[in-house]
Amino acid sequence: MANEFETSQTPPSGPIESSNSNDDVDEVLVFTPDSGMTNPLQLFGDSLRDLWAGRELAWRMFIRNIRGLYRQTFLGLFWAFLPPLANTVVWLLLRQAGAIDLAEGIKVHYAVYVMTGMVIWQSFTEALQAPLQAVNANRNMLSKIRFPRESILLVSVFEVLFNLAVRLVVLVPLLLIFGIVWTPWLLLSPLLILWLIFLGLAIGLYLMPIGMLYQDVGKLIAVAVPVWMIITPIVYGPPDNWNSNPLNWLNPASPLLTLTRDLMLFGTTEVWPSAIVYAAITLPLLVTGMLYYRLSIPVLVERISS
Amino acid sequence: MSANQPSVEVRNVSKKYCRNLKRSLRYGLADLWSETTARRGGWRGKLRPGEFFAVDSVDFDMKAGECIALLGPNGAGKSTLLKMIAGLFKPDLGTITVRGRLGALIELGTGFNTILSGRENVYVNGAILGLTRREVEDRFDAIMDFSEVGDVIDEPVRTYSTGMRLRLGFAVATHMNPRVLLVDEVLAVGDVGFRMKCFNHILKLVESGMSLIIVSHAIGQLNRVSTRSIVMNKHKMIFDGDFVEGASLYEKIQLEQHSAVNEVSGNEPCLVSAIEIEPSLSGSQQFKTGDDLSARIVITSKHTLKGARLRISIESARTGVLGGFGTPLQEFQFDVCPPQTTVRVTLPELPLLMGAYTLNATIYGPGREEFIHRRKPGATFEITQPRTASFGLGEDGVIRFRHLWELLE
Repeated sequence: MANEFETSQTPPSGPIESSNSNDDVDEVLVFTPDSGMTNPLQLFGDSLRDLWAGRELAWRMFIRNIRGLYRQTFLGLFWAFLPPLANTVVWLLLRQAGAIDLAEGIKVHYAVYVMTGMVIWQSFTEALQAPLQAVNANRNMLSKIRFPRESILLVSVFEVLFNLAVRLVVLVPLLLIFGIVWTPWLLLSPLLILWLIFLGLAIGLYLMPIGMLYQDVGKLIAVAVPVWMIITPIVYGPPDNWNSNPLNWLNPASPLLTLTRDLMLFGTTEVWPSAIVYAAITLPLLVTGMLYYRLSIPVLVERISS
Repeated sequence: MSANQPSVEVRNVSKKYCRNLKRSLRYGLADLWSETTARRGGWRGKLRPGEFFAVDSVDFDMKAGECIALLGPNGAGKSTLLKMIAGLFKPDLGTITVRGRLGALIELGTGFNTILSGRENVYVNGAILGLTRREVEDRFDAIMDFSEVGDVIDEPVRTYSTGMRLRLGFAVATHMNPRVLLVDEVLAVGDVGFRMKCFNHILKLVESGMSLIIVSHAIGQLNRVSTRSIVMNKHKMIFDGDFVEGASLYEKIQLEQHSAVNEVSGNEPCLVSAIEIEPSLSGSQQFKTGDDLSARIVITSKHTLKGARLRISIESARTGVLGGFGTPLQEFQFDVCPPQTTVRVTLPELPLLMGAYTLNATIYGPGREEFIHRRKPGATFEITQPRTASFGLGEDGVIRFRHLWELLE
């Protein structure tokens, strides 16, 4: 159903400003009951096109959200840094009280170790929860206005990256103060974390459509995230014999998180094989997740709009 | 696209709907699966238990520069149809083609952040509606001008009145210069002055070649912009054609749908049991302006009621009660005798213009405040001719005014 437009298009009449340079005056939209999956390539193309078309909108909405958020807070950016900080403090206190000592085998200051892991983890869980939250927050707009649907995902990614940037700006000097040896990996860490963000986003995209229909999914995520954090090596040292223990590499968050933290703190890691596997499947997972998102939005709008 | 291609083509479009939430969600899940697996075989057109067609086989074409009023009672499927044309969800059967930039005013000010200033919101809202930063900048003054928001544009939107938000929302939405604009009911609010301004602006856009589909219950105002109407009732398209004809059909549906208000005082076993309009010359309930209309009011009673009074009122679907009169005015006296009494009332030379009307009747006892029974809505009749015309070309509205012109000096 390609856009068939002939070149000689003139508006039927009208002196009013309609003679502007909009090339989309020629736009032809065809809505049919057919599933987008009957032509996956076109679906993919449309998705990319809307992602591009929605970039400015996404940026505007991102700025809007950030401004709206911080205009009504006293502490402002501090709130971006608070969650990983609070989490770290909890584990430091637990250790201080002698309740548990998980610092065994960690070659850097425990606080630095936990804080680094927490910052990375926070980005992952934010990305994981982003699609469901974004669609939920924009359900009214989605059911009233036709705009590039991908833009609200882009807004979420911007927000996750924004939070990450704020945290890194605090974390990296902290690391250097605590005597972490400078390596180029520190500079590359945002890229490594970005990959983990993509993975979280992909999983979140797959959960979103059912989550929009049934709130059970959202509740389940809320319960699962803290548990997931515990079974990921964030507050305790990386387990020995990494590759022989399936709990380490079956947990999708674990390899990429461990890799990133190891490289940031020590400049070297042993988890390359499993991390590379996850890094490799992230992109296809993300792309299919985006397609699934695109397919699901009209179905969801139909069910959730009042 | 060439100019003679329709700007909107709606081909046999249907949409299923399910009222039961649990079922609806389950069907949503099933649809999600079918959509992802690209299931074939016309599954979308089949009704599942609890489903019905909220839009049933609607089919029409729309030329560029045309303005269609989409009329129908609440729940007829108008909004669902509009949302499908806007591309918010897919049809279950049929195809919709839209040529040219599409704008939809389903709700004004959607996407406004109340903490941010009006100016910031104009940019965000413009971007949501598909304008680039440049385009918004170019139109900013026009938007400001139109919305009449003034200096407060830099104040947070939360400090705006509802009317101001509405004006700003409308100003942004209509300045995106769509080729096809869908308007759903959004002009029902706001003060009269601004509403007129909106209609004038829409009129200007239509004259410049924009196509418009507008849902509104304000028939009187639509008359100015629409030349064609589509009437939907019970999920089906029942009329497509001349605006005034469609409007009067819609009014008739409105009147018939109002649930009967049969107020009865006390336990007086006396009531207006029927109102029968005597057929016009054409043998139907359809009349011409200036015709004589007669109605028989049947009153059933178990007792004799001496010195009864009867009051007739005429109601227009568009504007409400037009007026009424009672039997004492002409010193017409009658008694109600069991089992049944019939009174005939004639309205010579009806001064009513095209539209649908009801004739209601109320029976009173002889005492000043002795209300007994009101039949409302009573009987419906239609004025179908002559056609009304706007733009100062003929007569329009509800009532025919007798008038005289004289050229002085």
